[in-house]
Amino acid sequence: MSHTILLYGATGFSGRLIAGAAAKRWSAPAAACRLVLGARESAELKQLAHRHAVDYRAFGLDDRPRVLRELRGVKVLVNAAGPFAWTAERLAKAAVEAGCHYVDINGEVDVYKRLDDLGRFAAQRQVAIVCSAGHMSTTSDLLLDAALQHLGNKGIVELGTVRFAMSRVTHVSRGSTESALRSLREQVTVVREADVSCQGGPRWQPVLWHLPVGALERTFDFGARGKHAGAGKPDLRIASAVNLVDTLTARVQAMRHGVRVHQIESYMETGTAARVGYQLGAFAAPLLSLPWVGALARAQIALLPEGPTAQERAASPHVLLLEIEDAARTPVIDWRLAGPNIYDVTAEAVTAIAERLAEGGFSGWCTPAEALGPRLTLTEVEQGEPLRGCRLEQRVTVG
Amino acid sequence: MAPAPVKFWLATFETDRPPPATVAATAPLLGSPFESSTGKIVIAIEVLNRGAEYAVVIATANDVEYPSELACGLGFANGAAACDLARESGFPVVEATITFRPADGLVTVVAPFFAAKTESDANVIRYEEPLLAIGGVEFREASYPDVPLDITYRQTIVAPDAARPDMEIATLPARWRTSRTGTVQWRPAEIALQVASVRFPELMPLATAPIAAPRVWSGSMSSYPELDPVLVRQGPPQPEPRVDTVTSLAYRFEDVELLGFRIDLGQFGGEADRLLEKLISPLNFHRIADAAELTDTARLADFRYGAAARAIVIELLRYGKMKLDDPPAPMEPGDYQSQHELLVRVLVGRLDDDTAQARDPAVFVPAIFVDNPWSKVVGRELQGFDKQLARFCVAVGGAPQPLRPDGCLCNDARQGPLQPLERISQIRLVPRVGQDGGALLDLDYGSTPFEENAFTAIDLPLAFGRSLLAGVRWRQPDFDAIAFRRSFARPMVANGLTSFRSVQVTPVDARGLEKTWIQGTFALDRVRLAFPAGIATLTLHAPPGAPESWERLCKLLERAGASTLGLPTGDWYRLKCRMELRIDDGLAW
Repeated sequence: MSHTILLYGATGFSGRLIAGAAAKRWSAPAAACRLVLGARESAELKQLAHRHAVDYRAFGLDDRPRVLRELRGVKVLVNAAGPFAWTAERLAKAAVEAGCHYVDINGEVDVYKRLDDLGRFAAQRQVAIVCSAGHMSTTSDLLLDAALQHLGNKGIVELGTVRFAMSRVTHVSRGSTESALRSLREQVTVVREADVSCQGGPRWQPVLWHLPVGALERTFDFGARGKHAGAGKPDLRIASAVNLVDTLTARVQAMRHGVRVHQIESYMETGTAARVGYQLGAFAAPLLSLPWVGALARAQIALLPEGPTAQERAASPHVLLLEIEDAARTPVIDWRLAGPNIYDVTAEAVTAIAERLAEGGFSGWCTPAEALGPRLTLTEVEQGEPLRGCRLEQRVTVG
Repeated sequence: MAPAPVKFWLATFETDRPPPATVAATAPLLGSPFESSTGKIVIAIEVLNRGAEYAVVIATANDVEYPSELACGLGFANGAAACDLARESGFPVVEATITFRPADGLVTVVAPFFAAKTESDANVIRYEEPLLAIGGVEFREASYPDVPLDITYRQTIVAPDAARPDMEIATLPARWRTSRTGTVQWRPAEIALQVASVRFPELMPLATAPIAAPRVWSGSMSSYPELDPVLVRQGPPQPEPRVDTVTSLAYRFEDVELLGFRIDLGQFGGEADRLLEKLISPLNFHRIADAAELTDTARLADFRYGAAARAIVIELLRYGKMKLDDPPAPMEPGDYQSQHELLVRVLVGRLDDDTAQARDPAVFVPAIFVDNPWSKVVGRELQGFDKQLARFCVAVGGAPQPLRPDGCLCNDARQGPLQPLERISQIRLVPRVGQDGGALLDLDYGSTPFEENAFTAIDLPLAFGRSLLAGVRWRQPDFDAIAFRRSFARPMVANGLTSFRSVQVTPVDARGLEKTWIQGTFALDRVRLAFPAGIATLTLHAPPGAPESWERLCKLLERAGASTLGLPTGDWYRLKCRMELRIDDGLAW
């Protein structure tokens, strides 16, 4: 019997990509899963469902009993409906109550922190919550999991800094822009190890910390591009620390590996204009709480295209860097992963995670790497989903 | 010194299982796990005794002749600690007065109950009338050889569900056994049984009638209530809908009277901070240094609770009418019970690791004493209040005379004269029903007048609005720590009296189910407030057996030479109101 996977928010930009990937993956009659599309509005949903030859369920999120009814018989609920600040908590709670697993592609730190309180409920109900299963958190989590496993095998259990850095995203979706705008209002979340024994906690604990936007910038070698590609020359470009859920996921992953990490930070490549815009945006962010400013910003965003076209996506691959230093600040890991466009990776990652959850054996708060197969070796990461087709360059690997 | 052996007397007999139409969901004995093809049900009544402690276990059994498995549906014990331990192991045991008359073997159980609808005043719980009497109980012990009797108890450990504590419980099946020695068996012609005409607790199919042809065993047990686990099912606890008599967790409290005493701990400096940290330590169970037994999820929680104010509040309450908002049959909306309560309130807030401002102000109760055993059970089992039994006494002729939960003197007529709350001069611990465990608190108001017309009906928005400068329970200067000032403190100073959130931890003991926070909201209305003109003198004592949190508070005051506190006008208050308690649904939107 196939498991029912309900994709809510199927009519959005990312939702359509996930629907396409999932329909293709589970098109065979004997497939492990059966896709059902869900969204608030029925007309567009009906067309999409017809196109993929799958069932659909149109419902809003205002009526709790109605949502619970719609989740009956569903094994995994995939939430692609942004803004996640409005949908994630309701759908995650409904999923826990209905006894189905929950996966989303949220990229907002505050939403992640709200949802992780539900992890203990999920554990008790024997269902799993996988928050932020999209790119790049899935990719970074897979790489970190493999790196920590490698370092653990080498006897390294105390690390100085873990850094992720993502190359510039040239084409972003409307939803990603909205998320970025929301995150401007917050400072940058990083992880710093602190002594919390005075609070009744353990001696050293990685705690969340906040830094002002623009306070943390570094240069990273993203690899040469354009005419210099393949020349082997370093291409150092500036990246700013940004508010990404990857930092939070990495903290969970490190704690589960039993590794002490002094710092975790996430960066994104920013050109000069982007850096100026980012810092000015953060400076002006309090204005966004004024209703008319917020409405104006949202109106501007609404004018943007829904997301990059297939051609645009094909023309903008991504690069993800993972740098790990040991406690003495010596680089022990410097990996560079080059792969397809982030939105395509997201669709593949979410469908793979949903299928794994449907197979069973997961409960509580899971990181994407845990759901995809905890403690994968690097070879398995490279060859398995969703990184198949990505190219991993190990510039530094200790041992 | 080895503890005295536990004597047991066990009787089994068969009786007709009531037809399905008459099976009430709330009759614990009818939920027997043992199947019978004959339409009969095997009942087992067990009486246990060690010194002055007695317990009566009412169970169903798998076999009348050779019982090897018992499932306790309801039990009574007169030892408070034994009762708590038994509940921790999944035995639904309630405190009761149990007397044994060796001459005719009559065991009498006096526990509060609601009478059948055919009785007069059926809506009012009865506190001092016998619920159950069993005749012919005889403790015997055989010398070698004895009759083999090996019994396993099939129980279910329960606690509020972490996600939906208002509607569901988490259950964990458990098996317990104890070794029995010196067992003798005999078959008396009959056993006399008297059961009050009750609606709650439902004892069906027990009824007043002689039990014919029972099988009886007696001997010694190696231990009670600490039994040896035989097998606790591996695997996670399962959430199930509440099917017991406390289906609803919404309560209405009417005719509530309160005397509150603000104790400013600011003068004790760092010692006060350490005390407060200890008092609220149950809330930070997820941050304990040795977190090996915690799940990943609990360990990853990146917040802690902190004491928000350097002031605590001790309150003495009388709940005239405690009602369930939506009582399940056979309870009715008009049914009520009463109680007195002494508690300590500490204001706490949630401190996220990465924020400078605390949030979610709530009141935590680290110590609470009540005089109604059912309230103790509900509080401990369903609400996370670690309640202890106590006596609330008024001085009659210079001697403390205990009150009934309804505010009348013990042994008064059913609807006797109500003793004013301010007449309560002493609260005493009850380690065993009927036994005095020593004074916890002495109260003296000198010649303070307590006129009824001193109460002022409060215009809530006006009196407790944003403009309020002097709070009743908590005041602005109480909030020393930066994280608890401004937006955290303001609503608590202004509204801390009329509506406040509550946070407790459940289960209150170590029963094998994961601990979780249980949150709720107390809302007060029809509030009438008075600040009596006089000095209230409180003397705190920590008798042996007092809860740790109470003992810590007493020690702090004792070290500072302040065991006796004199509170001037304004630092203590009288209140009359109506109150509602709603436990949160953790999955509500």
